[in-house]
Amino acid sequence: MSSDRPRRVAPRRFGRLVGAARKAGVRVLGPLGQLGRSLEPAARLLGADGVTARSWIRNVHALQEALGGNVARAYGDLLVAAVGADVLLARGLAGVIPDQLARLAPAHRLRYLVAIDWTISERPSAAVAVAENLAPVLPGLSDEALRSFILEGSSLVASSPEKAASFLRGESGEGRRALQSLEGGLPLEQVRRSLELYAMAHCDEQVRVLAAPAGTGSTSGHPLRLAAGGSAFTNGHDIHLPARVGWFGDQRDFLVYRICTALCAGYLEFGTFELRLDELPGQWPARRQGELELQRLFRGLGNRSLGRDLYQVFEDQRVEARLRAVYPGLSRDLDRIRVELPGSAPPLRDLSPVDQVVALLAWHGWSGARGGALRGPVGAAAWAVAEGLIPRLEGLREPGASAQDSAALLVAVWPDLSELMRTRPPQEAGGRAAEGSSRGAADRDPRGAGGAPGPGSADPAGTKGDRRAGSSRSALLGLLRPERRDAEQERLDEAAMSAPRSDSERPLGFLARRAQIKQRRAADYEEMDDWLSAMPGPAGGLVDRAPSAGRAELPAALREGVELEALGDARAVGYPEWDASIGDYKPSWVLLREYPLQRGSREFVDRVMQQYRPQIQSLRRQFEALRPEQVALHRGLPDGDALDLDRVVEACTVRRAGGNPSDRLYLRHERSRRDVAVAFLLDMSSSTNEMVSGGQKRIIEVEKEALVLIAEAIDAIGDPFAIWGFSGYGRDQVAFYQAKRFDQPYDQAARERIGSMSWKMENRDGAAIRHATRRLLEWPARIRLLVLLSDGKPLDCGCDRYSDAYAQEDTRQALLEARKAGLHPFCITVDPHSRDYLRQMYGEGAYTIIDQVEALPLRIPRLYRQLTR
Amino acid sequence: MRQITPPVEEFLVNEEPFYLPVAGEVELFEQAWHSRLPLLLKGPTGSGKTRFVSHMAWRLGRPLVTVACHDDLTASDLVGRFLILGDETVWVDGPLTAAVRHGAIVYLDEVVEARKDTMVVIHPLTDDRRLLPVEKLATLLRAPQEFMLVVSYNPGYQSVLKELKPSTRQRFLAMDFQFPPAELELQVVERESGVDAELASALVGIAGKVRNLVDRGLEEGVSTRLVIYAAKLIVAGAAPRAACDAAFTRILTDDPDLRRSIGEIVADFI
Repeated sequence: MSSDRPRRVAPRRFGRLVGAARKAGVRVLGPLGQLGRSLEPAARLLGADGVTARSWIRNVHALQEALGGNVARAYGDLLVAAVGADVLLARGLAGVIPDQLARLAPAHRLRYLVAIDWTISERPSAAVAVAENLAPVLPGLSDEALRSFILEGSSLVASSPEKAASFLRGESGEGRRALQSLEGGLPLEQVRRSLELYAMAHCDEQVRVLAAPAGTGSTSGHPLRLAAGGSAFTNGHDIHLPARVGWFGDQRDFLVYRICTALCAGYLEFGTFELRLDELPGQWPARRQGELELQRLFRGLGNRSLGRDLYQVFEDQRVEARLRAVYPGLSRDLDRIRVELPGSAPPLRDLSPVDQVVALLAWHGWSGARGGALRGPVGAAAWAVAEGLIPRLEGLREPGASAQDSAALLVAVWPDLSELMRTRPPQEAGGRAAEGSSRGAADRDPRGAGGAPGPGSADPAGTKGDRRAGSSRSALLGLLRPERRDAEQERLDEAAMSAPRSDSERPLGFLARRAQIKQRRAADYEEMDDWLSAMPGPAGGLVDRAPSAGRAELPAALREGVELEALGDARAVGYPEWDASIGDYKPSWVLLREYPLQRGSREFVDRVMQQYRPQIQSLRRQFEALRPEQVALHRGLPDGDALDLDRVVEACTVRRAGGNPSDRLYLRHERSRRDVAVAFLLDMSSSTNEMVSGGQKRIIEVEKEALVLIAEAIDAIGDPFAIWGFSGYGRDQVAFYQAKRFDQPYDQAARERIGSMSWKMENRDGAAIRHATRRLLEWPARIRLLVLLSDGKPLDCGCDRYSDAYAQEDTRQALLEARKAGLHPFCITVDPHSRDYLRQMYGEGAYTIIDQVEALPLRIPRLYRQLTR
Repeated sequence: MRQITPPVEEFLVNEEPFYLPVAGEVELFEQAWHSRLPLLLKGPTGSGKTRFVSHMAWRLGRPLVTVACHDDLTASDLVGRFLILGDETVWVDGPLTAAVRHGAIVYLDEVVEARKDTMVVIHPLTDDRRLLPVEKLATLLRAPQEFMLVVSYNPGYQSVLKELKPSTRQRFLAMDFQFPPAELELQVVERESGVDAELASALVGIAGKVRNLVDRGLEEGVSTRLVIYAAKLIVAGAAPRAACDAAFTRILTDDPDLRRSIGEIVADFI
């Protein structure tokens, strides 16, 4: 089929041709027939509305190529239905739908079209808005829930299209709540932090709990898959859990989460990753740099995925036994879940003999059953191996067993399994459905596992068993532990996270119970890959994004001046943003990272100190005078350091005279304390690069001079202070720079860090203020002052618009939050046109405009004195 | 002018306070006492510092004067002050002066809570002079051989504002107190509360796990004292889960997520 044929054939004629052929009973075969079927709507569309038809023609071929004939046909049918309802509606939909379809996972594309179709009949006026926005939330909703969600969102369209759009995308707080109530079950987000803390309490290591990529909508399937593996897994420092659990609809859903977490944390707690390979029998390949012992073991065995799966089955046994011994309560809960989950035996029929063994062992571990009932499809050889292994598995449940024992067992049974591997699977099915198992078969190529472990059988490059993997190094990334990660692995890890991958490359696969999920695998990976490729889109923070996301692309301008090692470590903090147009917060909308600044050159600071020497001296003197040295004397106290002689005499006199003397006879010397903490927040956006009108300096330089002067002055007074800056690009990359933290002394290094503050990109004030508020609140002080040094309006043009009313309203809201938290925000700006918006954002008396920028350095100390008087 | 010194009987420790030594701290204390050196006990709340000091006072047969330090503690609060009683002015010894007069062990609990300038009055007592100047009486009290100064401080609260001045800190020998290892903590809990071994082991297990959350959201871990409280509640008839809620879950934090995690850890054991 030539790619431009559809454009050359006039659709109407072609459609007629095909239609006629059909009527005549001629079977239109092959590509021509397919094309013909998808071109059927042409005639009807052209007949109804030329504009819609042209859109359709533009898109349909690309749809057919990229997403397949079914989707392309359904698209056409939908437009036919729409054009019947309303021509304008159809025109709108024709342009919107293809892009949205491309974003959706294959399983959801037709659902999406059905939902639009339903909307056209129920709420035609909202159909375009629904079509434009529904894609991100659709995978998580059942069909029924989807309909009520659409109805609720549609009702907003008339009053505020923006609000409706945010709602439908699940971005607004209201939309998020509606989604949560509709999705049913327990969302991970709700309990994520508790589980994270719970896991850390168990294993005493820093771990994160994240939503598993494939998790959306995967709560069905084999219970084991969730309860002990499947979409719950760990790679040694992150624990991935399904995004939602909803089997029971009550507290037991949380129990499922808890047990999954305990099992995953158990691998860390009980040393699954701690192995001394050289103490095992056999000869092992030399250790590669950065390689874990466990990786080396699997490499030495020659077939990583089988080695990994078996080792995992063994470790599951051991870790579960240890968990049960240490946590009697958890043991009870495990039993309970085992009874209450509708468990069913794994289907063994389509598996290869080795996979049957793995599945039998895993099933035995979970159910405690001998598996006699499963005997049916299992061949005699596989059965014998499994039967032989089960008693040895029991040994791993002994209290003294370690990961070393699991590995030793693996090595001991390896020859049997290698033998078994040479047996063909009971049946080889063709097509997609069997891809999961055939993939396993290829992976478990007997050539890769030729007999006993050792260098003789190991493939020197370590790639044979994982030929499909592409990059063998990343095959076991899942096992890496944080303290052993170097930059290279980090990079690979990230690459593995962002690129579609084949089975054995899957970094998360280690603890997924491969054997049990075999039959579902192909679809899962497709779903996961789709999810991953959909990631860069406006996910709206629905998923807790890993801090690494976006780090690689941190624009050079934002990296400049930052401590290099900090670049890798910066953890992203999510902040909400206020959207005035919908009157609601967008939760976790902004990602902010904190970077300590490097020491810059001495030049800037030396120049400032030189230029302003007399001013600095007099400032220090003035501010030192404010230092609360004076000791206040409190008299007339009922209790105190010393007797107040005057009052004692007076009391004696009164008593002699027959009166009732006061007992307030003491005095106390009290030192009055200043209790002010102040943070300066410098807007480092690119506009501060402009020259001061008529002057020689840039705005940011003057601002920095002002910071140096005020810092000298405050240092003299002794108030704790911090100096921060912010910039960023887009909502995923707000950067928060630290020149001086509260707990750092104000010394030459701090001065030089102020010197290295430079203009960067945009300024998203709201997020920076929210973060500054959070940091300021960590410092104990009675009065907390947040001084924002700015040169203009909040503005962030990176990827989504943060400007004008939207940005100002968000900033205002952030300032309101700061005030509610007990802070005193104050803005000092050099923008002469700022009066109107500043008053609106900061309120009267909480801002000042410096007309002459050059005067800033000397004005700020004066302002500070007024503010903290 | 009358001077009042609280009688020594008030400060005597008559019954042996239970204390299970962890790592030679009893000997070290005795050696410090014999050598007339002041001691600084560091460690989290409820790790047994106070109990240890009273145990040692009993062991050495010395009276024990305890002062809980706070923000408003002044030098006069420690040394003493004049009071007007009728037409008479009476001097009343503060706890520090009384301790010096009785040759007692004086224990300043949570010494960082006191203002830094207040602590300066103890300086002459901590070096080889062992003197306490009482300015208002124009006297210099010389501490007897048996006198000993012990201070405690909790590094967990460390903020820049609450730290010992180096000039104060340098005058002491330091002993570290940590929560005892599980086997010992088990014995302590059993002995103090009378709870059975199985429950004691569950409670100690919970405490150990919750302590892993320190610095991951929790400011301080479960103290041995709290474990004993929970055990006592159970002995008194409370349901184990409820006792743990009262002693661990609710008391340690107000953060709902943390509370939930701690609750789950409790459920892991009980």
